[in-house]
Amino acid sequence: MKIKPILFLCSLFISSTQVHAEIVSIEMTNLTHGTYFAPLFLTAHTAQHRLFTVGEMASEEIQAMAEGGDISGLVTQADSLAASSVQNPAQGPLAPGASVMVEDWDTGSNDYLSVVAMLVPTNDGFVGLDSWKIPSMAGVYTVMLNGYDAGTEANDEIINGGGAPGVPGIPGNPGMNGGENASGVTDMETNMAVHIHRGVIGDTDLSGGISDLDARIHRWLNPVAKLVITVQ
Amino acid sequence: MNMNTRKVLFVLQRLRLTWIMVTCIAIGIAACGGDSHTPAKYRVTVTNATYNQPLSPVAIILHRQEYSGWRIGSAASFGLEDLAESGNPTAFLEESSALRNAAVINTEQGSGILMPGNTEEIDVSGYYAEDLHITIASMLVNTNDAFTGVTQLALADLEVGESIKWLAAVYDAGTEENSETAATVPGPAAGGEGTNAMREVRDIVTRHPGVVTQADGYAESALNESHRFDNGAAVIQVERLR
Repeated sequence: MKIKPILFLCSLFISSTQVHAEIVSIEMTNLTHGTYFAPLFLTAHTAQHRLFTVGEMASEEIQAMAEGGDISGLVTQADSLAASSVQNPAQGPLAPGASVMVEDWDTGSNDYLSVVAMLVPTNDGFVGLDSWKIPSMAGVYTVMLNGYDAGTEANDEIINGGGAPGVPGIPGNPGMNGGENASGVTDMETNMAVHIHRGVIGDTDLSGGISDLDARIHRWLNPVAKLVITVQ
Repeated sequence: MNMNTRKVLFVLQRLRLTWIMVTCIAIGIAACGGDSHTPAKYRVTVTNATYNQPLSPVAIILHRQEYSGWRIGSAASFGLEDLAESGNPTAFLEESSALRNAAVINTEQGSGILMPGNTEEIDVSGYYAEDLHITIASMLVNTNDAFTGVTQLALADLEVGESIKWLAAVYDAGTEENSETAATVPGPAAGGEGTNAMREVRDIVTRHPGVVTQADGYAESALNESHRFDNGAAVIQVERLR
């Protein structure tokens, strides 16, 4: 039974190594066939902070990001928590198949990484990484990201410019490859917790139908993004 | 053990600790896990990550290497067929003990249907084993025979206070055609029958291809666009409490 206090000391030594500053480089790739990522928000934070949690309601900041691509609220929130953040590294949307590199990011004592960006065109879909523990061991790590639904807006799949929180519709379609005058897939959002996105349905009618999305272009399957993280 | 080895290497490289500290970490390695007389307890936390697929009562099996809840490419057991077609976990749990008594340490089940967005904690206890594994399964009830979970997940390296968390994939039991008709889907979308002893022609467990639904032009489907899903269907965390 003498082992316990010794083990406790050991755990102190091990955990004390985690406050070292970590320098990471991240390559993020959009794996989708036809879905853009709106301006990306990457943040390194402590274990106490969560950007989003599956099964819980999205914050107002996540809602603004997921419905309209607006990450300014998330930036303000992260700054107030002494997190280390990178905003909009692609300087605009990240196109399907495209990659962006974040070089030599000093995350300080923040050892959890979260990443979000709106999936466009969707109503309130976003690519997300929730509190990934940044390893203290130097090395190259690959993490696959899934598509989430913020649960804050009905997935009507109507492209009408509606991007403000609480305004129905999809703000735009950067690929200019969708339809118009859709009647809408649904006007309800019964599950208001953050959940795995069920995907878009789309249709093949570019001048009507239920959806302004093209079923041949805008569908995806998880994963939707790949992160290659180099810890120095 | 691997994690501990890495921790030791890391400490040696970065901090150049004295031999006393290294010795104490070595003791830590020796004390990790436990032996077959050590009582262990795990907390399984399941969050339904789908939009509109209630999950059937979660089945949990704590077991050793020899047991497997399913294998990709092999036919589902009768218990898994029952779980995946009707949502009832009883036969799946009972047959695990009956078939592999020596390998199955304990079983538990959730208190009821786990609705989308909801979370349930289920504790499972048993004696520690060096080849301790866990199997977890639950039906997506608005389908013919889809289920989520994991089988043969190794727990031996998990120390008290540590946890693992992941997004569980969706599987097709392969025991019932994915007709999506009202007569065959038991969930609230249809209210059809549960288990049917018939097997489909391709009687193997695979990853699930997803549902088609009326929204994609399948008029006979009892499902609508809200019942679609992508991988995965549940966020599962396993934490070792003891």
